[in-house]
Amino acid sequence: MSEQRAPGAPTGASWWAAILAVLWKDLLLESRTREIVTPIVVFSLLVIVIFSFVLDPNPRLIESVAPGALWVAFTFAGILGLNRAFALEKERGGMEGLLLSPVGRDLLYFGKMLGAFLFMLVVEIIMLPAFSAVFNLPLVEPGLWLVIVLATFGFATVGTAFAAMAVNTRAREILLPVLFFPVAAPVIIAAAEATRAVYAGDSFADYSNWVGLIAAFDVIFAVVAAATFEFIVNE
Amino acid sequence: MTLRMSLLGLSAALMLTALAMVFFYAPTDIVLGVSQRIFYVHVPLALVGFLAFAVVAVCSIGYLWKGSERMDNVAYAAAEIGVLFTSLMLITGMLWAKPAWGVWWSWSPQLTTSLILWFLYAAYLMLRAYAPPGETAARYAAVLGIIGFIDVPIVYMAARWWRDLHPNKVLGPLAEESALEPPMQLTFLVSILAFTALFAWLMTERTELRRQEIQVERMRYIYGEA
Amino acid sequence: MAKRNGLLAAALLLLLPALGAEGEEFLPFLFAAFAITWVAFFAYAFFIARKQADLKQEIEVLRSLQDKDDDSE
Repeated sequence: MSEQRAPGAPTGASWWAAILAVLWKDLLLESRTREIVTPIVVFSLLVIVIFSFVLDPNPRLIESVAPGALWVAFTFAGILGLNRAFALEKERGGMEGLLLSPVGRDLLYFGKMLGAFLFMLVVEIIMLPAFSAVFNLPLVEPGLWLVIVLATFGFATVGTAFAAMAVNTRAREILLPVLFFPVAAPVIIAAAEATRAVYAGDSFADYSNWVGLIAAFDVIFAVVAAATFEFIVNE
Repeated sequence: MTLRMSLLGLSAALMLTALAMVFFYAPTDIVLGVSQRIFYVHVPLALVGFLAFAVVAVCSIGYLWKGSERMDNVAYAAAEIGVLFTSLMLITGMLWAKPAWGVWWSWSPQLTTSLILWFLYAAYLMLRAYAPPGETAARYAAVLGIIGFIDVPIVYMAARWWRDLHPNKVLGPLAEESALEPPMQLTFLVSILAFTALFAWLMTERTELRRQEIQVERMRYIYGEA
Repeated sequence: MAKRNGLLAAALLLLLPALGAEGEEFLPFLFAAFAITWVAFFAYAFFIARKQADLKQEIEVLRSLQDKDDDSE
């Protein structure tokens, strides 16, 4: 892999430069076109409205189902965003361009993954206030935000690898969730349980094991996905 | 050819022995009654299914490392047979849970993990079916084979903690493994050997079939007709 | 249909003495678990064997085409 990197400069600084260059390209493109975040935000708000239609408005009941509803909405939005990001990249032929550049495939992965992470996070930052308002739940909870950031990062680690595969398959819209959900299941369980604890007013110590599980998932799959990314994107 | 035939013979002999022991040698469990005998298929199916997925992971790493097509064929065969074993494990588990616990399904950590494993490797087979054929599908599948296997202990941890928070309402005697009597242990051991031999035989046959499939695909590609 | 039910009853009767009387009401579960497992294994093995035979035949045909091509060249 090392021969794919810019010759003569495998220092830490140039790694960051490469990752940030890939990330910057995605952010710049999105800031001009808004083809990913805008439709996903609208979709997510609709999901919240649908949830408030179908759920019993009894406050006690809401407290028990809201964490589940929140994470269903987040995972669906995340999947749609990933699908769209890679489908757009394929349409525009962006991936070929990136593959021609002398950037290591692991660095390319981190650039794409951070981009996916930020897009998902932006959508969630817009969704959460709407969700909290509709279901009358607390919004300013540092613990909840920690869970959201870590779980979203976990989604991005495996999601980026699977989206890069799924985009080249037939039935890509269905294949991404089918690949993603079983692997991300522990993060979804942990995030929902930690959110439940936050809404119940528990202290951080009560749900720190869930946070630890998500963090472990993040580290493991960031490394594994980065190491195997060359086998996904190389022709 | 001889390896395949001898594996078939071995697994048939072991299976018949195991069946005879299950029904005529092992004593009936005092607490769980006759339904406990499902244990001798259910648990070996689970163990061998897990072994199959370990084979997928090892061969996936081997394939990405060496690029040998044979490794990929073995991984493919192991995934398919692993899904077959896991499906049967889930079915026999439900058929045991109903008489033993009074419910068809319980979210015990083992059951939850097995169910997610089933979905994972069903997705693996789907990925192979829908990916661009040939080497691309093999590479994608190998990456999933590695990611999926690393995921197993994390899924198990999550399932265990989750279960602590949401205990199941289980009726009837809980199958917190009452210690097995020696005849039961022996029967169980023979069953495990029998299912492992069957797995080995199915593996050789399925790998051979996979090799043929690829050969035909290539020949068809060269000679458009037929 | 009647014949199949008869066979099922015979199989259950055959197993009964070996199992002792207790928990008889759960016998169908035991029977179903073993039957489903075995039917699935036989079906899978049969499917593999048939596919292998088909492909073998196809390989022969394609190979003979290949030989013809080589001859004409």
